Amino acid sequence: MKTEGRASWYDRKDSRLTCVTVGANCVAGAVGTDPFGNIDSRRLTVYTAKTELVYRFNWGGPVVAKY
Amino acid sequence: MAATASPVPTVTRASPNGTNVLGATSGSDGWLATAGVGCDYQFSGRWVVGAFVDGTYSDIKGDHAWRVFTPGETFVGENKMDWSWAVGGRIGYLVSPSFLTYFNAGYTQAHTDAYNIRSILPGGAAVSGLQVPGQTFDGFFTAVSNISSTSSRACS
Repeated sequence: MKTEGRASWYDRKDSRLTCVTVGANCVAGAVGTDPFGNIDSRRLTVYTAKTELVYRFNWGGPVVAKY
Repeated sequence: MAATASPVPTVTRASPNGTNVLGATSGSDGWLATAGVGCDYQFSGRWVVGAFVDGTYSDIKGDHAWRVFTPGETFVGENKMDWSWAVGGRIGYLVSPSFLTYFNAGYTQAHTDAYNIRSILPGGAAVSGLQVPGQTFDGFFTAVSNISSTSSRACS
């Protein structure tokens, strides 16, 4: 049985909006375009806690690990 | 006498609805499932070094706000991290023969799904037509782990 706490830090990346359907901010002719030129800049930080089952093969060594 | 036109009422949105959205922190939560494989080498009795790779499917979601300048509105949409993977190394110490504690670190990559955004102004349309594209992020991670066995057999 394995437990793990992990912290991950990801680099900042920018995203631009895209018109995908006709809506209040997206006229028919703008579908498929980036009408406003806005950039959203995101930088993710992720914390996870996990419990896992571990299977150990004990290949290639005289020592048979017991953990 | 010349007629004077009444000024057209306008809605003033001075610092509308949160320029504080810029630089804001938004959170997400959810669950994940991971599968991985690794290799370890035990040396000097109680020390273990190894390398591993794992892949994760996740459903980690939370609302994320957008300040869109041209229409002068603030939008919100649900951002979701749908997968990530990691590769790294680890070094551990056997506290007892059946209990390994270790530290690991390495490279990781995560992906967020594309999502639609909607206006959060009162009376704002539910469908803006705007979408935030999917994005892949590169990063690094550190972790602490324990592996314990209730059996002395190889399967732990």
